[in-house]
Amino acid sequence: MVFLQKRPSALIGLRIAAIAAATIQFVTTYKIVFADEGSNRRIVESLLAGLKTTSPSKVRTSAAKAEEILHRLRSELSEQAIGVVLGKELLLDQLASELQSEQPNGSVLRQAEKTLRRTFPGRVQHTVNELRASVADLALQVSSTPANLEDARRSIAIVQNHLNDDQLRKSWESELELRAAFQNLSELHPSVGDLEELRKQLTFPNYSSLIKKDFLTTLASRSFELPIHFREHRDGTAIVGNGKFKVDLSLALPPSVGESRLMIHAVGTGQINTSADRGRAHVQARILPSIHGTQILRIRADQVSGDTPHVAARLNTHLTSIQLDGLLGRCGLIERVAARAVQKKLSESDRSLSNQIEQSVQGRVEDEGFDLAYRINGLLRLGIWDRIQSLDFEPDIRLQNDSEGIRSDIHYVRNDQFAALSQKPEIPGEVYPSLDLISWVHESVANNALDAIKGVRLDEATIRGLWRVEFKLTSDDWERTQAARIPAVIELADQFPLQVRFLPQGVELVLRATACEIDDVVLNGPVSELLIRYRLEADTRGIQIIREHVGFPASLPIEQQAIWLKAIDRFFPQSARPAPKFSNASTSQLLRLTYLTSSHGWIVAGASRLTPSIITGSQALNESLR
Amino acid sequence: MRVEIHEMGTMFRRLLYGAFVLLLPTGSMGFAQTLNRLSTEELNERFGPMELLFCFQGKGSCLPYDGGVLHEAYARIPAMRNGKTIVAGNSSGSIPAAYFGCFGLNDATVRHAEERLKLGNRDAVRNMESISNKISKISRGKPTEIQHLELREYIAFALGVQQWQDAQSIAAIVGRSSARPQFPCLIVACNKEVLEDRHPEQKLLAGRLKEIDLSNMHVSWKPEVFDYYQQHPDRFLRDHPKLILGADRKIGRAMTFFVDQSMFDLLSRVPANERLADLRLMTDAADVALAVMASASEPSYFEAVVDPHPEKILADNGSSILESVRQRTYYGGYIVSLPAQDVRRMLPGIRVLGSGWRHNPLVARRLLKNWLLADCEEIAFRSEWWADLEVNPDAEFESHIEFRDLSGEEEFQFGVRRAKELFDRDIGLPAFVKKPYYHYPASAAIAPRQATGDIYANEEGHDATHRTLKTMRGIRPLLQTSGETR
Repeated sequence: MVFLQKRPSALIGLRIAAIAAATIQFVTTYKIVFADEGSNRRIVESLLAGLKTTSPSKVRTSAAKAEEILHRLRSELSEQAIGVVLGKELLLDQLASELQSEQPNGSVLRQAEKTLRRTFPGRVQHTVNELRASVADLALQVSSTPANLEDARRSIAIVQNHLNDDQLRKSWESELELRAAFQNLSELHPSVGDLEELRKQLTFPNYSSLIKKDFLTTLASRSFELPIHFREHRDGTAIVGNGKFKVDLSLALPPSVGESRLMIHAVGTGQINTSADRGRAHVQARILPSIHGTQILRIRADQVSGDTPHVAARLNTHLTSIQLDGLLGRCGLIERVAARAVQKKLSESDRSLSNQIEQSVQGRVEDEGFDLAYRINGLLRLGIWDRIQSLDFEPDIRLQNDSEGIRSDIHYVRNDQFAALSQKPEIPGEVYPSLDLISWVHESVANNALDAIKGVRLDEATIRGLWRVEFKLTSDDWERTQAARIPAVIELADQFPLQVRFLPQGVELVLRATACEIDDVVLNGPVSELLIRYRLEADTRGIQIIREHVGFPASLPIEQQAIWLKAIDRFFPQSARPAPKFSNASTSQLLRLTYLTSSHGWIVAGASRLTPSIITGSQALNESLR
Repeated sequence: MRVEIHEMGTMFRRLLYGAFVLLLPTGSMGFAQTLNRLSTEELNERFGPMELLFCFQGKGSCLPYDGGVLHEAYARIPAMRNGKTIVAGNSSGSIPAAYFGCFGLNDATVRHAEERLKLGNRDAVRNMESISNKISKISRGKPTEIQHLELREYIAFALGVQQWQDAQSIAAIVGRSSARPQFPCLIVACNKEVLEDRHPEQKLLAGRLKEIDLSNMHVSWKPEVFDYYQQHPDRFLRDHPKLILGADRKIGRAMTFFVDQSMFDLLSRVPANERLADLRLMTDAADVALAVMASASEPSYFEAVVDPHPEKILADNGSSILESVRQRTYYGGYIVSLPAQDVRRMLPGIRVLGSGWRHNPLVARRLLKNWLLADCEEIAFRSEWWADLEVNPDAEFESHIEFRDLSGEEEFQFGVRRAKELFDRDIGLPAFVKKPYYHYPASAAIAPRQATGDIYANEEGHDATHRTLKTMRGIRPLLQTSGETR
């Protein structure tokens, strides 16, 4: 579910972390893998062959089909109050009138199709998807005019150039051209299969991560204590036991493809002091229970699941004292007989005690196991899946266990988008062994997702929250600015609202905004394209980002530039660095950023466990990571 | 029946009121409405001298921090020692607020409160707060809530009960208490039935059937939803069994203030359409315990709490709250960070001091909004506009909270240090605020006994009755000068 993936501590570390000793490297290690020419040619030929005009009668038939689905959807929606709300949000009235018009408009239909991309839980989702596919189909048909087909051919030509010339894909501008051509084809070309084939040929996962086995073992190494209390009556014998039980957990990673499998082993021992009283006979015993348990958990793209842990307990009972009240207690034989009787009752109670232990251990192992699985899941996601899924993204996620640990490879794309056009860069051999967690992020992750914030009103407080809470950064700017002020607002443009580019030594943002509100000033106008460039820098205080440039369109009047600059200051601080961390906690599961590279669209971050030599007490953790 | 006894003397009125409360059947309707009230003269006498609203702002299990803030504030603010302070609280902050509402602020009670806040066992709450554990449980559809009984030590403290260890229920602790709310006190809880707006098929998503007016926290059906339910009353019954569809879109107020009699009388004078909360009268230990549970029962912390006596809630225009809801359930005090608006509007001369607030991260904010309609940040902007000073935790403490690695004593010292730092510099404000719609005194506002020069913002050309109250002023005028001694 969108909102519930935990962002675990190590992720925080990796995302924001920096200490003075961190290494920043700017290297060009990316490479492009080419598909064979034959298959490229086949794709292009197939794309070209698929471009055909559609007859008016076929358009009418398709429109009628879409209308029928729309009618069905409305009927389903009318069955519940939320349906009325959804119908309004999906702009179904507008879609209905468009479908009834003589010549439905392609761009209106495409917009309607985008509106229908929203995901809804529940039974209407199927019909919404059906309507969306039908509207998309109709949009393609009404768009298959000779002019549009010519436009599509131009896009295919661009694709062909890129397939033939790998040098083209090395420049930002030509990558943009290729992405735009693919987006254009997605709107104009009827063959989803061909487009998918093209995407497979050209793109690579745009987000990958590796968590190494050693670190996972440390992360999983945990123990807990369970108190044991029991009291029962068995044929006149009152048995009371009190003690505790310590369980140690460990992790194994069996090889798996398509999902990550975690095998949690639980081993525990304890001691229970028991007394059994029957009439004048009083027996005390020490029970030494031991347990073995396993649980298998699976992390998949869409969920974390697990079997019920299997736990088996064994008990070893040792009598420690026997006491008989009165004269009988002095007779050894009677004492032995009485002891046997009480011991028998104790043995009979073993089963129920075992059950009690098994159940309590089982529940706790399950909780601990899932807790661990969600932490690992969070590490794999680095908090990105959640944010993106909340934008109705459905990324293609592949997980696997191998000899090194758990890997994830993810394509963050919509149907009309590309993931990375280059493979993830390699990490230098001298650095690789020291890293416990590595993440490769391509700029297309951000750009594909940010496409969904078209026309959004961003407020300063929310963005500050993202910087501080989500990215764990702090800025001296925020200390200097006046407190208790009304949050500034920026309204983003409807097209390409924010684009991100990872440069060799920093990050460049292109913000396209239509309005801003700051203090008492409101600025409305045509789209302003603003360029914000950050430089990544390391100093004795650690890594920081420094805003080195803000660019405005030359046509923007000076007074408006000043207002925009003020607004940008509110949203994009002049400098920021990882917020210091303070902890008295154990350090074995803490990570710090030790490797960071930025090159040609990729950022690679590597984190290593803190070692005792780094930690000199809680104060030393000021700039370390959880 | 409405009892009008304005001509009687105060003492006699109190006695009569006490007898009335004892004789009144608890299940009778309109309880709150039929109580005798303090006259305007008496309200002036009681609240005119007030100088401070001290809000214990809940921060999960961080009660020791508030204990530290209390320590420093009590030492330095004479108004806290001479009966010129109103206490308020939300979430865990309801615990000290309830205690001082029952026993007042004095050297002994403050010392006792500091000890209990510092040393109280909060392990159960802290374990439950573990984020990864909570997420794992929510995702598996398992409950995260712990038993209210885990609050027994703190509820016993609030009710002045020494022997609580053997109590098997909160009711048992209440039974051992003779505490009554006697001092001005306000505790916040949100109204579950009014706010709840979950998706019918996916409980973590929003239903989006309702809308909230942030100017007065009134919740209504969306127009199209109201039309739909008017046409489908059977569907309404099925979807919202705890609600009653009224003649208009209005559902009710988003929150309730649990208040003692004096605050009840004071805040009921805020016009109904401007007042932010329903008023729920507290008259005995059971009410106080209910208030604490209602405020502490944040979503995912504890199960929501049903009010056994909804008739004690002040409804508008003499009607019963049960005309709009079949049941009143409380779901924590998280909804408003600083419950000062109605109080300051009635008492323009007071200053507002908060023990510090922690803003929810985006994920929690969205989840709460999905579940319970209200965007806490938007409400926080408007409620914190009323702060004169907030002892918000610094970055170091925030970091420790993430690790949950401080002892009670350490946390207490953080509170002391932070309060000292901010009082010395007379600063401490939230980063962002928004001006609330009702930013001026209520028409029945009570003039301060001692004139202060900074009640109003310097705004020209405004109608005298709608002059904006000045806020965010610091608390320097309330701090004792160096010559004064405690």
